[in-house]
Amino acid sequence: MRRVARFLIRLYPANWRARYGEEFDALLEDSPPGLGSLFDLMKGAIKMQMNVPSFPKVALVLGVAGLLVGLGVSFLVKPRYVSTSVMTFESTPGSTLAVRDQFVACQSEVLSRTSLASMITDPRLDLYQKERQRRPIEDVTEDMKRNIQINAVDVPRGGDGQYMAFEIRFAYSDPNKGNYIVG
Amino acid sequence: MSDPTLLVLSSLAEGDKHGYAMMQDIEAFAGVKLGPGTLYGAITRLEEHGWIRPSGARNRRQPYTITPSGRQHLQTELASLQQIVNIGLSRMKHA
Repeated sequence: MRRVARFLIRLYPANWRARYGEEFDALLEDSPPGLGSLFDLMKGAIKMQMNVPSFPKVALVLGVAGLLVGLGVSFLVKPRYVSTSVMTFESTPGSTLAVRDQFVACQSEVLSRTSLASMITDPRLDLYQKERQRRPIEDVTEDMKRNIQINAVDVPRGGDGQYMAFEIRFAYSDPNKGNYIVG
Repeated sequence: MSDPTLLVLSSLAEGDKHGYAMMQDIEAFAGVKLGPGTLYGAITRLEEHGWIRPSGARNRRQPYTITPSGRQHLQTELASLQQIVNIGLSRMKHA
């Protein structure tokens, strides 16, 4: 942290560092900087640079600030991958309704609490491990339900039969497990 | 009161202090933990206005002292805050 703090001090204007640099360094020795102090130093550097108008300096400070914020966000935000698969059915003329009914029934079954809970606790998948340590399985199944989408999609007609297709999408942090669910 | 310049002036009104001593004193009397950038931003502004100045010989742990004009400025600001506090409290009583 102190090394980062020393780097951030370099973002202050040179004339300011010449005047206050040594005592500022002594302050950081007495009070070891935490994460909050680093943001405070960065904010202070931006303010000081604003008092010394010079476009390249301001652009540099803002660029570094953006880089640090971006790095922070990339550590805090969990990646999410969306796995998608499409199932296509061919139906004989007049049987489209039956396929749709089957789809609705299948959708309800897949999205039922029992079905989702069995997928979550399946030892091969072991989904939402951390969430299950903190919250009841009922809440976690609701999370999974929000992350699964099953929609009918249009497909071009071909031959005498009619085609129906359904797209299944699942958003999850592990792409392999996501693919297994929709596969 | 969370204006860092007033907090620094209030701290120095009691006696000369260096940066870390100011941070500790301000946390003790106001419950505000000033970051190093905020503290030295306030010190820079106060010195530019002539309300504080370094005291004693140049030192890595440089103590600062409040100047007579700084004391005058603090007095004015605190009187203004006092007026706001008094009005706020009396309105609370009548609400």
